[in-house]
Amino acid sequence: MPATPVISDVSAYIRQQVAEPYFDFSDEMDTYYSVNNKQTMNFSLLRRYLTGSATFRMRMTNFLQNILIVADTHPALGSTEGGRYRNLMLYEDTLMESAFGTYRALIEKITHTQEMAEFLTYKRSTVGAPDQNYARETLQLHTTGLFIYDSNGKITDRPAYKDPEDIAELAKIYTGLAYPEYDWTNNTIVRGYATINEIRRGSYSNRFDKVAEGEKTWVGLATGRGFGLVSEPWRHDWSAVTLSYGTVASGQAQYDALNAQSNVSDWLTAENLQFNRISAELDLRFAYRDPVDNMLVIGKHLAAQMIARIVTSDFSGSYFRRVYNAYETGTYTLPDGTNIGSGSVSDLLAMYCAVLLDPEAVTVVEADRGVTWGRFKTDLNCYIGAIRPLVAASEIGAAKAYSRCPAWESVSGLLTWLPYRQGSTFGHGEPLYTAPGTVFEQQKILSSELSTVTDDMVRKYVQAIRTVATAMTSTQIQNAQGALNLDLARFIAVADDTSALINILDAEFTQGRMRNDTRQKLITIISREPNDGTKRFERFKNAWMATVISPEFMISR
Amino acid sequence: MTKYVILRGRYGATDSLDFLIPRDATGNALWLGLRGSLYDQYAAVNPSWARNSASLRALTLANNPELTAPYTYTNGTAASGGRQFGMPFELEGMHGLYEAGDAAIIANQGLLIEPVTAAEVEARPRVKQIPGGLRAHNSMQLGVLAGTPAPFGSGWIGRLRDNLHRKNSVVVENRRFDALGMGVGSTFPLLGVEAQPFFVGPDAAPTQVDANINSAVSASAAADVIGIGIGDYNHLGSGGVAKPAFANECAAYDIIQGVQQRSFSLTQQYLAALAVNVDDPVTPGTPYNPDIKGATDTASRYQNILKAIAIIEAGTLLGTMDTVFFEISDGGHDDHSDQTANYNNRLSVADKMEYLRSVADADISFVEELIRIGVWSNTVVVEWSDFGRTITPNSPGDPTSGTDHGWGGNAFVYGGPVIGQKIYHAGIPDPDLSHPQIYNSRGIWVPTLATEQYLAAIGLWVGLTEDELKYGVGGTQSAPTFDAPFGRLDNYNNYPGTTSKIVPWVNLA
Repeated sequence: MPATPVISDVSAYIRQQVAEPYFDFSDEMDTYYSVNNKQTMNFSLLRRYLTGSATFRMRMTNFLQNILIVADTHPALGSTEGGRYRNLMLYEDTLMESAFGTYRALIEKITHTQEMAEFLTYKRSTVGAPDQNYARETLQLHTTGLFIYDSNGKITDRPAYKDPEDIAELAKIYTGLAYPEYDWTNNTIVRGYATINEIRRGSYSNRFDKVAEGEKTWVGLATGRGFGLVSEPWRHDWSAVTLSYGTVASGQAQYDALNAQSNVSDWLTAENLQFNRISAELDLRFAYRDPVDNMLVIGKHLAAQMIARIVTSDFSGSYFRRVYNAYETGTYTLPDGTNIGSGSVSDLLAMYCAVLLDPEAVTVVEADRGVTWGRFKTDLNCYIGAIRPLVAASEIGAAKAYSRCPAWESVSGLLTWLPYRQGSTFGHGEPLYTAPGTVFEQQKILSSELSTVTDDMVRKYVQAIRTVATAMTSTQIQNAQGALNLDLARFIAVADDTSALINILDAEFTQGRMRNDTRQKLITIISREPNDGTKRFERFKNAWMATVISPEFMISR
Repeated sequence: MTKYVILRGRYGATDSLDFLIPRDATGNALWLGLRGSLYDQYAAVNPSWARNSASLRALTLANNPELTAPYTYTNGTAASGGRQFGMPFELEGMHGLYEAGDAAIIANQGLLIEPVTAAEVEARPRVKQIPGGLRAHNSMQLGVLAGTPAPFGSGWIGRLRDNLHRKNSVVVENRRFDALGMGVGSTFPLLGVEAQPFFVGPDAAPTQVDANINSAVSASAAADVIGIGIGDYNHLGSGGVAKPAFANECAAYDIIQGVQQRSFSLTQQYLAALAVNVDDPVTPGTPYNPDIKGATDTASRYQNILKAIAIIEAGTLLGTMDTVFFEISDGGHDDHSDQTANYNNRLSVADKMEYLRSVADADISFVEELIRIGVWSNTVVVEWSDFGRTITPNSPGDPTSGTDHGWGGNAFVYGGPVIGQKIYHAGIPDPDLSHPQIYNSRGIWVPTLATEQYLAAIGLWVGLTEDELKYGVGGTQSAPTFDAPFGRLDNYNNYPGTTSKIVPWVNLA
């Protein structure tokens, strides 16, 4: 019976991780690569994922990019291929730096990114017949969900919004946004008006820092930083927007008055008008309470998504309510009695802590009563969680991860799991496993693609681990490539003794928490080779492979 | 003779309103009045892609005399003459099939719970039931694949298989192997309450995996692991069936274990045959490598299906089976705008149209190969997509516009047994937004046929009766079985001119 994990130092760990400096992915790209393309984007991601020290923030970023999905092949993003991939790194940076803020702020921020505008097609939406894509998906996927959850986190049959009424109305809000056309010679915006004066650190953090009134030049563009959407107020639908959860007043009169001025030096005012409408609608949406139980609709959806994607799809109602409480209060009390979180509604840090430190998340009893398969982590986190220990366990360690290690570069499964691959909004980022009778399975809101994606992910995961395992145990690769090295001698030395081999594997890789069931499987696998000294390497290799794909290593670790 | 059913999915909600375009003067003018700015984009790139009457491939309506009657709704203009329809240039291959009598169009179908009009859809409070999650990709895809908008843990083909197995007393050991998932889409439609699919990964050239974990350890990462038994994961707990014990374990570990434990020799034989050892059905002794034109990924999956058919026809491996189901799909049809979102619609207008043409070519090339190897007369391909799209484009006048989520749409069915050169419908809305089966200012078709009404024809063709489709083999109207394939059929109107709920598009003779 595995021991209950010791979490006495978790509080300190959380605080340390929140304060931990982190690098921007775009900086990684700039620093290490002279070319910005898909390959260097992937390398940048991999290097940060495998060696970065702000692991908590990275994991949360990976969670967020499974909700706020964009994909990688947008021809219009950036004027060149480099610009396009660099912009995707800027988007990742946006998620990274916002990972511990409020979800409300993050949603607003990503609304103003080129990447989301491209992926969900609102960047050219115009008054008259607005594109409904973002209006629909920001409700269904990013905020309210399709159906309202009950107070136990189970989906009801009550729609979270009215379709088509809310969709058609909300689509008006997202009209009049566009990519900036930039005159690189004169350093000016050709058409439209800036929403962000400068994208410091390659992100969209300064969205509200306006340039001086009338000024059309963005500071900082010369550094090659990306930028957000611009306002084209003449294409915006200024009429009142009536939603089932509130009304955004018409801005027509204010716009008309502004438009009538001969000196429109303050188009920025129009831009403010336009973006304030987005903010106002978000305020309504985030304040939207379920009339049945007076809980915030978005909070319930986000809490259920977060628990399901990070820990388990088979959560209890009380677990759900604890996470929801962190959403509503914006705080969470760490095990040492101190509070964490900003105190604002939708504080993500408080929610993450509530999800990860909940008794249901940390009690291994859950695993022992047979719901291990309902426990999962975001696919990429799952993979990284497996590979990072291998990197750390190698003789050369993290430094070698910066070399172009053939083990992980050649893992097709890994590359297809990295964010910003072309992917279905619905298939990408679905939980690895969904337990029967849980929110996803029971209510059938899961994508029909889920079944295949799930299988595919799992199979690729096995492939990936297998490949790394092969590389690490291949003398050829050790010698020729200097790849991830593991000190094999001490394992091989005891490999004829099945119990000793299992014990040392357990000590090194599963922290002494290997289950009896896994031990029995290892015995079977090891015993396929004789223990006469001629097959020690094979006995070790097989056992090690099975260990690193065991639940203890892959899931629990 | 084995019957082959191929479920062909177009994920993302293809713009199927573009499959069937009014081409008489009145109708075409009205249609272009609603959609013209979208079509202007097409024509600007290539004049052949225009949707005016002269550019369309005319559809013979000899079998649809009712469709040639004048319009009722014409936005105030006088209707001159009766209705005519055409297909766009990109679908000329399908047009040829239609004219040859081997393809038909199912018009204005979509997921329903009961018949409903536009006014009833818009009535508040609701006066009729409409599917939950209407016009959302995931819930609609699941509904089509389940064969019903109700929550369901199994796919409609899977439940057909369950009932066929029961009716034909198929031994349990063989129940897995009459459905092969080939797509990038989902094995879900193939999953029954009991029946599971035999899943082959989407890659073109799968490599077998050794049963011995030693070899599995050293297998190449590039090798596509073949998921025999993978279907079990999809199947967990559905329909009250207990999940297999191994599923309690870490999935990754147990997939290897599962591969070892499940029908491994058959896997190896099948894959080996698929990879190299299939004889050309027409020229025995010659390796069979069907050349499918068009989109590469679709083509490679079609190749796998053809090889599987060749194996089955030769009886060398799986033996003679009554019916085999395949699933194949492509994605990226969510055409909100021409440069955005998914897959092909991230392309320019020109590339997008070429992509669609390429996929259409793959479909037709596949058909030609089915004909060449002699199985066309016992193959039907049934198409589906999430839902239809809006009549009017997004942001008219914008050169990059697309269309938005709709509801009712058109679907192709084709194959030797299809009673073709015909449009099956229970009312195609006139090209006027005031038509009683069109709602919303963007123009959304309200389906006049439920999706399962045309899917259910497959059930008749493979040997079940209408009652068995509605109530399950061994069930009755008052006590249907838990795995009845299309348990909601009684909700709908009879297909026009018949006493059946089912669209009669396949020849049962």
